[in-house]
Amino acid sequence: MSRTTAIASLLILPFAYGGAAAQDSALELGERIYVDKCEYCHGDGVQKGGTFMLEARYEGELPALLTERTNLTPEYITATLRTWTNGMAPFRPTEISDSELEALVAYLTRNNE
Amino acid sequence: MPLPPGLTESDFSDLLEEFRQAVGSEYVYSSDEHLEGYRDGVSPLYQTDEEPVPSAAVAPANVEEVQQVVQIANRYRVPFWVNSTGKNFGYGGPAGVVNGTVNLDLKRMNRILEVNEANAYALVEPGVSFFEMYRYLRERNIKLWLDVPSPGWGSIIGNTIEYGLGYTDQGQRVNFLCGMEVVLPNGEVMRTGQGAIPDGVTWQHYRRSIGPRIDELFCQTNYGVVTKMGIWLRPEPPAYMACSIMTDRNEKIIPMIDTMRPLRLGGIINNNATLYRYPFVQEGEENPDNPGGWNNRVAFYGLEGVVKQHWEHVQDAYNDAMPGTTFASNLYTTPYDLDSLGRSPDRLMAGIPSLGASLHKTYFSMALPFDGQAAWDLILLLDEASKRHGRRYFGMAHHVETPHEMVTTSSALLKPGDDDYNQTTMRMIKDWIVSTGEKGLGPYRVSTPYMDDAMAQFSFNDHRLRRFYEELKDVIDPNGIMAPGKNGIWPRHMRENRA
Ligand SMILES: Cc1cc2nc3c(=O)[nH]c(=O)nc-3n(C[C@H](O)[C@H](O)[C@H](O)COP(=O)(O)OP(=O)(O)OC[C@H]3O[C@@H](n4cnc5c(N)ncnc54)[C@H](O)[C@@H]3O)c2cc1C
Ligand code: HEC
Repeated sequence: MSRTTAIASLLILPFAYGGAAAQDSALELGERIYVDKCEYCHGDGVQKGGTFMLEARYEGELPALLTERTNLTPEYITATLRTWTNGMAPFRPTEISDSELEALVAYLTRNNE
Repeated sequence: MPLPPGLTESDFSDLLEEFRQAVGSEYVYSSDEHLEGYRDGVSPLYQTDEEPVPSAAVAPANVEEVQQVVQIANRYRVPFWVNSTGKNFGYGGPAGVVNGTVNLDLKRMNRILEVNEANAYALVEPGVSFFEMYRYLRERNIKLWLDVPSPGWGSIIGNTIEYGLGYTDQGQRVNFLCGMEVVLPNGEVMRTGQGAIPDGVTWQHYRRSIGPRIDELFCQTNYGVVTKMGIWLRPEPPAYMACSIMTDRNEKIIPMIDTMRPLRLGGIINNNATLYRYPFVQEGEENPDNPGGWNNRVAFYGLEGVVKQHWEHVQDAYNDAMPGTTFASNLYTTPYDLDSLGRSPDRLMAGIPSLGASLHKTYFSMALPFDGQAAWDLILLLDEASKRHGRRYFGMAHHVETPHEMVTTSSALLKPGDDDYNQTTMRMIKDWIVSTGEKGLGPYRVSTPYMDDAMAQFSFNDHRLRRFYEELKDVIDPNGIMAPGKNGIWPRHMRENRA
């Protein structure tokens, strides 16, 4: 997204939540949180525990990188982030708030069919 | 989720209302979904009847709010447990010891209050993680290095006051702690050392006031909520070398440690040198006939010529004592491209945080003399104890924190959902604690389910030390609300809870 749209959506967000601009900014926020809180483990490259485990689990049937997935559902992502299912420690609401979680879901489901 | 001990449903809802008024309603959590992240899902007790489940969580934004929350907890006589970043996995995660404890979550207090590059220190709040501090230094091109534990998402304060271990020459990090601010269990704020002088200018420079230095009263205890802490950093060295010394047989740990001892005592090796199993095989999958050898990881920091000379000298010493030893090393010099340091030990010994994935372990860690035979005897002892539970033990990790001692970190695997397996693991760890105690060896750090067992080993003169800790507890925390049971220290009204 270009810098101008980023600024525009920031301005519009409080008044028109749910519009196209808000959707853009949710994606942007989601991406920012992802880079900040998920890439330690789910990034590409050495020492990335999540990527390593998912590669071992799916053996190439699904991408090991979450950003390349097209089949993650909001429910599944929420369950992974808020409960002890799926082998990952949940995040507390002080680490990822409910609205940040929504943004993450928007980001990780952006390419879903 | 459970109610706090002694509270009715209606007291509890009044309590939550008071918390909401203190910190704002969006920072008081009581739904199952929000509280799941305050449970220790990798505890052997998870989802059993014995699991200590939190009743609520409260997340203050500043020290005044912490004080209010603590004052409210006093009025309701409600026990609370403290987390800085709450990633204490292996040692209890974010959860407490008592069922129904309120979780005081300090993650929102995440300001880096000061970094002084010239004097190499920082003043931080509890929510600041190693990752955040590292990023802060790099983004501002501040040429200071930080000591980090292996998981980078933990808290500088939480990890350091638990006597957490890093891998650099500041690896026994608590010795680099300088000055604290603490909210006492009665809600009052205190500053230690030179911080007790209003606007004290040497708070992060000089570690005492007059009289005893008391910062460690707040380490591994339940005497106060640490809200600020000073930490000394180290200037970027002109050269850094990360080295591995490898041997192929398990019992060679004896000469390996004895060879290292004079080098560490003599100041040739200065970092928190470690010995890890090599090649690494997952616990439970070792070949009992040849479980493999050891990798002794050391690092050197300083002028390039000196660093190289030290490494030459170290290799000579090992070659003399243990022919057949193999060596590897990587030399890095300024200007560093720190983010390109690929191998994990090289990153750790340069204080670059990262994060692994293996959480399903429970830890029991011990203090040992810096002595090869002592390390080997411990391996044999823990193996004997493990066999009684159908498991084996071939040694895990040894950390030479200081020139005078080392600590071992031993973990046992847990299998999510396999209660029988996990109960066996827990019984085995309790057996480890008692068996080593009988040999005069004590824990350095244990997970919440074994805290009473661990403290019980320190029994000289009818547990005089524990009674002293509890006498202090009763004075500092008269209502006995902060982290009851932490490391076996119980408030008066709950001592019958001792396992
Ligand atoms: C695979 C693996 C590797 C590990 N490697 C290491 C390692 O290399 N070195 C190491 O040290 N540990 C290691 N650990 C243990 C643990 O994960 C870390 O020590 C971690 O940093 C602790 O979590 P935290 O920093 O979030 O502390 P927290 O969970 O926030 O705090 C830990 C405890 O300290 C007390 N506490 C925290 N904050 C306060 C406060 N402000 N006031 C009063 N009391 C407080 C509480 O009792 C709390 O339970 C490892 C664990 C695993 C699973
Ligand atoms: C400490 C490392 C770590 C961090 C940080 C982390 N994860 Fe994970 N995550 C894992 C591991 C490991 C797995 C795989 C568990 C397994 O296979 O048992 C996983 C699995 C997942 C899955 C399930 C994928 C599947 O196909 O089942 C999702 C979704 C996920 N993570 C999302 C996230 C998001 C979003 C974040 C950031 C907010 C995040 N993770 C942060 C380690 C991590």
